[in-house]
Amino acid sequence: MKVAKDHRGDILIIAADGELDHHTAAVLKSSIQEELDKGRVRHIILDLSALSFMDSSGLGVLLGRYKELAKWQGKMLAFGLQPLVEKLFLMTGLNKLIPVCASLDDCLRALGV
Amino acid sequence: MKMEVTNYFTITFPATSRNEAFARVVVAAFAAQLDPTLDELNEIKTAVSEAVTNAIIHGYPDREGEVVISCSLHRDSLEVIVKDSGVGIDNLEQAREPLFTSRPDLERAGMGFTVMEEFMDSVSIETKPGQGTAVTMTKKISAGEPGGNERN
Repeated sequence: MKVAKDHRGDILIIAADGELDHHTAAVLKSSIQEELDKGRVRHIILDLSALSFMDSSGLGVLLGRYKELAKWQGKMLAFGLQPLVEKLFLMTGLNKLIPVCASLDDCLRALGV
Repeated sequence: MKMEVTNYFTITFPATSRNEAFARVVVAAFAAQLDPTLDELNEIKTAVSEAVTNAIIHGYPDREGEVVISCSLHRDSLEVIVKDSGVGIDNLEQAREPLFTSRPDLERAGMGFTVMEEFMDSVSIETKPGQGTAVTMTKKISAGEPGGNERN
């Protein structure tokens, strides 16, 4: 699991590359948490275009960060989901908490940028 | 009626998280003999990942142990058994409920069994407190035709 970070103002853009399971969840968790702890992030956009696998452990780690953002009414959005990941989002209703957009631009627009 | 077994394997590995990816890839490689679609392969990988993760996290919460995967092909379907010799599940009905987790401290979503049931055709669980848990999953492969697994 490789995690790349980018910032647009108070929006953190996280690109997750690889497979997200119980073993790799800690990598994603700590790299997001590290940014949240700096206190300058309001919203998060997840670029999942290079995420080739995700199971319910991935779900858990995303939900955990979603709850962190909710403390200050921050939003989490995602784009670029591969079919398996999208299926998991829809099946578990995660898309109701973390809306799925068509592109990065759509995510940014949804956040009023 | 139980179908004839056309191929099978069993592997045993330490219950550590780094083996989760290994386990799902091995089962997917074996299932490939039935010519599954990419979607079917991904569903198998995800279900195996859920069962193996459960064995590692919940089967052995405070000690090392082993996970055994037994896999067999039955003409046009795959059977996967994921077994641990850990603590077992106290309340099976509760464990199978969506969103239930015994480990909210670990940010578990509580969706493991729900995902397995969604992605496989059948999921049955045998568990004995103090002795372990075995999850048996089957999936029919749409392209699995007679002869489909007899090519070399």
